[in-house]
Amino acid sequence: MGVNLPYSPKWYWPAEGFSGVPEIDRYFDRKNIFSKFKYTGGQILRLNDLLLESVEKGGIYSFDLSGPFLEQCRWDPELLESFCELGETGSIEFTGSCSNHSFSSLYPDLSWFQEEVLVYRETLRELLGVTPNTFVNTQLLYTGRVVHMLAEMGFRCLIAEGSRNLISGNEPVHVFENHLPTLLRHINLSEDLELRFSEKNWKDYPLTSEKFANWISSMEGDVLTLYFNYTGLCVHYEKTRTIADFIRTLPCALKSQGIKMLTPSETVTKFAPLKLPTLSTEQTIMYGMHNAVGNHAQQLYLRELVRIGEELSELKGSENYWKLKQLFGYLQQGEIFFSMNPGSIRNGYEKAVNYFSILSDFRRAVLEERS
Amino acid sequence: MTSVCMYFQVHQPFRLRRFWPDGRSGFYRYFDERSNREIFEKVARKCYIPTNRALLESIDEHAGKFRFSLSVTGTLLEQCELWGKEVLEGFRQMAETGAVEFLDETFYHSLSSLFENKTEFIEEIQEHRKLVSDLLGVKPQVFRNTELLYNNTIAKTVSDLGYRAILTEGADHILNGRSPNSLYRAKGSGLPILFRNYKLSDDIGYRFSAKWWEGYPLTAEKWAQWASGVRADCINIFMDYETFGEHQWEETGIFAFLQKLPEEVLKRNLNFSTPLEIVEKYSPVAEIDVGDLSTISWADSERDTSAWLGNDMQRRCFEEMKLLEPFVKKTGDPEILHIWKHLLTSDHYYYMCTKWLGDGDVHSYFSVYSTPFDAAVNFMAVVMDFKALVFRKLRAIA
Repeated sequence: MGVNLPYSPKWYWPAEGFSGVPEIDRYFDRKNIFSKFKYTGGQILRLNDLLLESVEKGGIYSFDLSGPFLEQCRWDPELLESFCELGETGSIEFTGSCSNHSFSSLYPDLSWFQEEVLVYRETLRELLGVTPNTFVNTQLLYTGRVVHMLAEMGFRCLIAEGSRNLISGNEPVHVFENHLPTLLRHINLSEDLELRFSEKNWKDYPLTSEKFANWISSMEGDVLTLYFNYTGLCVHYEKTRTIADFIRTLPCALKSQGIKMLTPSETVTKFAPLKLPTLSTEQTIMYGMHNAVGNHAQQLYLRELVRIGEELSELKGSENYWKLKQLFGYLQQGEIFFSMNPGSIRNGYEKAVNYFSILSDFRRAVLEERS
Repeated sequence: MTSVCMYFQVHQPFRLRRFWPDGRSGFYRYFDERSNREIFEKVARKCYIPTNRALLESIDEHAGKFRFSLSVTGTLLEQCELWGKEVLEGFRQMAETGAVEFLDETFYHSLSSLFENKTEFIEEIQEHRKLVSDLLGVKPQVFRNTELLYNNTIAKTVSDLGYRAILTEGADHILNGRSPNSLYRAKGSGLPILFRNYKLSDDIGYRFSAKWWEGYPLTAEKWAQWASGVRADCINIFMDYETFGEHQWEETGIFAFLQKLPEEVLKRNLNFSTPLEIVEKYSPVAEIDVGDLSTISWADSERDTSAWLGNDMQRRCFEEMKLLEPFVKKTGDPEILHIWKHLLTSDHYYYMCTKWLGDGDVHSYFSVYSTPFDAAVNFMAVVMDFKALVFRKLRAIA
């Protein structure tokens, strides 16, 4: 289950820029981010309690907590404590990811990616006392470029999107052979939980854990990988309390159908990996990848990040290097890319103009910094 | 006798290319050499060359009685030097006849008059003055601003530079029931103002070939008849030069109209006068007050600055350019200055306009982009890259 609360850029005006080393408030509205965190954090806390009940009944889950979310958790020790508690049950696996929730796996220089993975691993150790064995890239993006590197860094499992071009006609119901044994997300069943669960006009509404377990038991294959936004469940919880029953009763319902719940790193040790030739390509694949880097504005933004990254690297050791580096992290968030392509060009491109303006001021600050 | 004062605006911008940060450098890293050349050549063929010829013939035929004025932007003159010597030669010949008064404006058809600080605006006027003096051998005494943008401060700036009059739009909300067919004076500077008669101007410029219009089909005789009905000092007919052959295609009969017009006007107790002659002949009848926050223009039905600065994308881009000024100037780099000044050209901002209803049609007609959002993203991508160029340069010379 993924949890991400991005730092969204604010509606910036160039008059705020053009001089000095920017503070985070120049580009981001921290008050707004904090109040969103307060609100969602409360929901997550309630959901964590439910999940704990589910775990006590035999449920096994894993969490992909995004770097930006983890950082915000520092504002609320109670929330952090609640994740620790879940971790201590031994039934929860925390996975690794990019600390900035970025698309750095697409940059020409992969040291950016590597650094993010290491930073994230360190943060997870510090805050939750665990070391991740499984890697989940931002938005489940799959790119063959980084798999070998991840294996060398000690990861033992990779979860990626079960995108149609990757599974090429197969069902994503196996462990697949790769430098890193790979699990692919089952899109439909994941989206049933994340998106459709509380939709009253959905033909399968209301979805009970028994019905869901029945569907799964009728499927062939070794393993079914479900991945969805945890905050999506919060939304359902606001609308209908049946999600609470679903979470509580899921372990028993699965068990009665003879279905075992597993963490990803357990899974890859239990089943023999199957060959999937598409995985060995150097291609970058994700279902809906065009939403992230598919339009001209997104391509320009990505390209500019790469250039700024190069310029920033030359500043190591300068007075404001770490301050700039931290801000650069926020500017790389995947969410920024997604919001430039929300389906309507008007919405996305008006934002893109704002982001470009922000990025141009940030780059100015980098260029003005003395190395 | 009422004077018909005609002025034609001649302009092409340097359009941006669909920007991608590749290995190109200099001016054409940002501007599209090929498409600008193609558009210029097309417009030259359809409009500039035949219209120049038609007007020169009419001047000849009417022995000084057919007179008008032209304002040619610096960006168009640059393009003439690059790709259209024949067009330039036509303007030169017009200057020699003495029947054509050339006006001054900003070199870049820019929005610099909207900066609080007028230094750049003044600089661009001086650049234009130098260019038309060098290329056409003329020294304009009357000023027209980009898209007829006007307020008291613009008038004061222009007056201080020694110009003897300024042209602007006969916007209803400014004239407030008064007629555009007289000379007025600007509050503060006292600079004489010529207001465009938009009704009689747009009959030719916009409605000429409109089949839905009750005036259709418009003949020179009909138009001159309407004009002769005006009992006033002057009728100011201002429009794009591209009306002839470009906005109104040759097939509409626009050239036949143009060719007949002088004769039809002159036989109706009307005369042709240029703006300077109007100032010399008539006295201002009242003072006009347009505050800086109520700036007017000839664009769209609003007649204000909203065609260029109406939405956040436009304001953001404009603000970036404005704030960049001191840094660009500090580089002292002629190429950087040249690029920055061309990015102030109003057309770039016009392409980003999102006023879809009514005026939107006109905007999309003039735009090379499929949507205003594409235009804005492309412009800001250029800004992002160009800004880095400026600050890299400043770092290098520090």
